[in-house]
Amino acid sequence: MSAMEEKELEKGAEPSVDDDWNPVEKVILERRSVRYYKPKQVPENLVRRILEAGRFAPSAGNYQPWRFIVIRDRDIIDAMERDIRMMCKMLKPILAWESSPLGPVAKLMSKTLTWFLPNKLHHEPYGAINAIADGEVGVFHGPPTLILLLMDKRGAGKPQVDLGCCGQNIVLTAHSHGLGTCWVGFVELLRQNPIWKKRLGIEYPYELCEGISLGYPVGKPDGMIAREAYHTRWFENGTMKVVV
Amino acid sequence: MALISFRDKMRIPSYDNSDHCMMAEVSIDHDKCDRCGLCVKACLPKVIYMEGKGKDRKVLINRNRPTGGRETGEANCYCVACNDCMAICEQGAIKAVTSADYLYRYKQVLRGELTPPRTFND
Repeated sequence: MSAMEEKELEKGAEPSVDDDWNPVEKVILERRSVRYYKPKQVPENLVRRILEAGRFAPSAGNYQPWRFIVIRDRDIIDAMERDIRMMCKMLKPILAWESSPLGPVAKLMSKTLTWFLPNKLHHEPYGAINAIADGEVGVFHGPPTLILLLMDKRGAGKPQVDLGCCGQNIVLTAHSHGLGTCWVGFVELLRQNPIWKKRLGIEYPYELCEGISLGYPVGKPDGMIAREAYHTRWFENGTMKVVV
Repeated sequence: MALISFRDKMRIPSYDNSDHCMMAEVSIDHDKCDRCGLCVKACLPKVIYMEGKGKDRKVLINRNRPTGGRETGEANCYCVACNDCMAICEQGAIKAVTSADYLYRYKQVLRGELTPPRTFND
């Protein structure tokens, strides 16, 4: 904002808002989760620059509870995918009552578990576990680079939220450089796996929390699209209204 | 009045029951579609698929229930409303029709229509 604009605002003038989207809004509104990548590797300096954006994310008490692991070896990404798929195959007979040999017992078990784990066994991850176990859906979708986000378990307040802010910085910066990203929460299935903890060098106080696939997208998946609007309660001048 | 009643809160929808889980849906305008196949590649659960080869090929939508295909051995397909197909389509031939909704515990509340980004500058 220029000095002149600032003076006018002080006088009580309405701030002018442009009709066009500004560059930041454009990046936010055009970001999509990309699940189809070109094999071309992302240059190292670009990955490091993207991580810088993550480093400058806000966090509770400025504790910065995040650490990163970058994986650019096909073999390791494939091995992780294989092990996540194996975990899904182990979970499927307990959860998927339609195909489970346990039949109604599995249905009771699955629904009871859903009471205790309402987020993990929400319809979307539930469907994904089955589809990954069946080999119909990939986990990482073949990215040349994978960024793993580790969370410091001792983080101040809500370190998961801080990690989300950090990841969003990474994802938006990547998109502004023409890259595609996709959050992969399923890396969580390897969190307690001693083999992977050792291989990736993850120790207390850090735990594997999220993964972000990174690569050049096939096509141009950045059109602006419609999305659900939500009700917002608006309190002003002693009244309340609901805006959508 | 609670947004979700206690009774509903305690009830987990059956994921294989189409009355409990309404999947998102997209529609394809076949006049605009130039059959480049980008949407087919972008579609994660393979809801959008290509039928036929050469000039006769056509992009279609598989409306099978998520688990409906299990018995018949078909692929397990359902739309997760990522809308990647809509964003990647250069012809603007794909439109979102509805978004996903569930009953009981996972019922969507305080939600409005599908709306493109707005500037509120009118």
